[in-house]
Amino acid sequence: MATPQKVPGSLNIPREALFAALFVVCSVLVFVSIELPNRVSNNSADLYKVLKGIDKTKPVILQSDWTKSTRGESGAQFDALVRILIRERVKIALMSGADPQAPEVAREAIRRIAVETEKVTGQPYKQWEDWVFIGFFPGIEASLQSFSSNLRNALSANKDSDTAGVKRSVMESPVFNGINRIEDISAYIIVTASKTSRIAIERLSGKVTMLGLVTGVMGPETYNYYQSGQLSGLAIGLKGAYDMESMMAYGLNTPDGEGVIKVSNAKVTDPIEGYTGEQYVNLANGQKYIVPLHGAIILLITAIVLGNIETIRQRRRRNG
Amino acid sequence: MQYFDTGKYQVLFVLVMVAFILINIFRAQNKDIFIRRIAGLNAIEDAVGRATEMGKPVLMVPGLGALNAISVQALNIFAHITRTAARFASPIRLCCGEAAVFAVAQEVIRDVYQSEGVPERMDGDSVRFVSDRQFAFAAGVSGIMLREQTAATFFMGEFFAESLIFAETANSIGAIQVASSTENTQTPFFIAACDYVLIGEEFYAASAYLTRKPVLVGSLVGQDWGKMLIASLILFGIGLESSQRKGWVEQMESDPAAKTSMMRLFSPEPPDPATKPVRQKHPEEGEAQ
Amino acid sequence: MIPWSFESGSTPLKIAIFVTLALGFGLFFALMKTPPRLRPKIAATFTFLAGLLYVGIWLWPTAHGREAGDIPANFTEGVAFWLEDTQSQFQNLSNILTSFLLLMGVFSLVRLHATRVSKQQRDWPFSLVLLICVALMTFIGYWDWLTVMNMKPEELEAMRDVTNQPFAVWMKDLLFDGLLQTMEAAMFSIIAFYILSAAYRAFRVRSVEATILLASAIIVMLGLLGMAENYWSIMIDNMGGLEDPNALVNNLRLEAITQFIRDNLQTPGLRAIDFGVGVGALAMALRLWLSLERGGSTS
Repeated sequence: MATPQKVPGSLNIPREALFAALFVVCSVLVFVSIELPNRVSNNSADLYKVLKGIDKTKPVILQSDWTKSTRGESGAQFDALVRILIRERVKIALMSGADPQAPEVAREAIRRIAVETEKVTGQPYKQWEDWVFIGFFPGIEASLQSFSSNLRNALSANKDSDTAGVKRSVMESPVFNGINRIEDISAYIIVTASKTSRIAIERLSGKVTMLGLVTGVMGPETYNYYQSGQLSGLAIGLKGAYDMESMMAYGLNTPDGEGVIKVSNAKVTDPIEGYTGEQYVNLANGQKYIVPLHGAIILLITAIVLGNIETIRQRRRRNG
Repeated sequence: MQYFDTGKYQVLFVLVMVAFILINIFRAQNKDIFIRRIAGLNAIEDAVGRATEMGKPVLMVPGLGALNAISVQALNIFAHITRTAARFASPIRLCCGEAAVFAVAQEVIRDVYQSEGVPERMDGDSVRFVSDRQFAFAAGVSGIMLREQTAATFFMGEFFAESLIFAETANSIGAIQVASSTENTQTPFFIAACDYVLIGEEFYAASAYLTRKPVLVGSLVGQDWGKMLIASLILFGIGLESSQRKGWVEQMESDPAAKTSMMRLFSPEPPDPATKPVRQKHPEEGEAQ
Repeated sequence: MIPWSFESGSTPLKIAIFVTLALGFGLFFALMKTPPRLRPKIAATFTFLAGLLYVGIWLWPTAHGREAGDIPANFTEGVAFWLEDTQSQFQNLSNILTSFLLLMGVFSLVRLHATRVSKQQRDWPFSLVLLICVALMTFIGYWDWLTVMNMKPEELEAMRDVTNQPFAVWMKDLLFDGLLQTMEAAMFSIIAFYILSAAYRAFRVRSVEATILLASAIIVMLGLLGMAENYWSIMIDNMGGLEDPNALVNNLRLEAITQFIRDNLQTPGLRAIDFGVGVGALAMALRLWLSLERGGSTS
């Protein structure tokens, strides 16, 4: 039972002034483009390690449950993730379970990054052949349960357009070549702003390698499952996105031309290559938004410190 | 080598929990079982009383979750609050973000007024479906709070990012806020902004405390037995883990996260093909293959 | 073939729809004629049977390595196959039910606001805006859906160029992406402002516990700042942490402290709450499944 008491007259800085300060800090800093130093979290390093070592002959199922409202965090994470998957030529089966708007947002991102990567590698990444949309599942709990029992049965009625524009069962797509059960895929990756990651872990854990990319708010709760080993890797919030982008840009524990290791981690100690080719887009929205995040957190800490100075002063006045 | 399929523990564990709950429900039918009262639940009565004095409505929100055990529990608590409100003739507002919850809530609230013998006090619009879009719901409910200047607000159930919007809006109009979320991620927001918060399982315990029905009290005691079982399993796991660390430190270090004893106990690994002993084939059967 | 399912557009499907509809109406009227005393028992039986399916799925052995077109080898496998297949039909059933309930919700919303507009009650212009928005969104949503559905593949391809979009699609983009999603993002970002004011109000050195909370909150927040972590680390490096990786001072790195708080304080706390919630949910689900709370929540 928690009963925080309101201190009478404690809000000495008017609420509006705090709001205005936050508005100014975030809006100004979003236009400041600097590369802030970063130390990669263990969970992000594990995520990157699993992604780079993924079995490319099998597809991943990518459950995308974010919409435009969390595009700052989830959007940046999703872009970094899809960039890695497409560059590694891993086939993607895309699905959504939380919001009817989510599939469109994710499809748009995959198409955009496919075009961007094709410009560098010259290899197209085509819908139906390389990636397929397997559906929006409003009753995600029951759907994942049926995935767990029999993936082929659960998906055979779902359709997507093939390269000729004909609607066909998604299981006929080259993405699902030789795949019958959930155990046959290389990883189940979930990008979410809600608790759908927990539902997926409940239904599929132990059957398949699972990776999570969640918002900062969902971080503490999802971290439980990373710690227990049910998630093999985890990116949390904007920091997670920036971690991924840093590892993509400089590799993990890999020295650059001058022999300097720019990004290192204490837990994952083996060197893992980045995408250092100059044309590759590595640092993107994660880097762009981490600057306002720094500003906002510094403002938050300042506000808390100011509030406490005020409390201590009031107490002294009362006592003395 | 695995002599026993440890996957069966899962089933056994749940069945034991179920048995604990059923045994205690049975015990409670014949015997008065003591349960401690949670101080925060007194606040419910006070909050409704205050709303009555001010002549302003009581607002209840069962969260955004689908119709499941959590929202049904929230409606159970709201039924109790509505009963108090019906006695005091205080107006109520129950805002739903999920159509199925709305349908059930309508029935529950109507039943409460009827069982209290005051069906005429029920306002047809007191139970409302606002929107199933998260932030449209947040905006709608905040609007209702601001326009109707609710004096007491109850947020109970599954809340997500909208929790802080509700709590801060209610705070800004000086309403008493009693909140409870089974979502760990939202509980901190509620604690920071609300007057009273029921944490975690206190949410499930609330209706037992409020109604003292033997079924609920018994099931609460059964839950406590279950928690004692979990606690002892954790201690058991700590013992195993410690002995394992002592024995095979090197093996543990190769993949510490996945290989703890507790992890193995609840999610058995498939046998590793490399550990399969090399067996001699029976000459005839060997040929047949 | 999956049980309970028929080929799209086939005669058996039409017959099945007709029979189910007739059965549904029959059941509906039969229930209306049932004495009220019996009704809770019927509801309890249905609840029990529906729950039994999921209990069966969980407890019954799963058929190993099933492939399309397999015939069950024995009774156990037969039941396992049936449970697997029925499950997806159950899922469809619950989706359909939810859609119908949504209609009920929308009906209630429209009735409430239409009354307010017609009687010109307080704040009725807001209600009018709401009604117009509901109507417009529904109309444009369906128009767009019909337009896209009737398009040929090459037309769909051409639509990638925004200037080629038909009016319905353009309008839907404007309403959904341009307005709705942007407004939702705006609502979401309001939380940042509220976090600031709530944190300012709540994090005060009022007691020993509150001070511990405040200190750990500030450490965790600093841990989110890569820049702070980096400079802090340089400080530790200069204090001798770099030369000797086993130096005690290495434990004072910001990431080591935040990791410690996260692994040893925050996560176990959350996990303990989760256990309680899990057991509570199990008890609640059990009471619902077995209809133990006779008379429901209102008796």
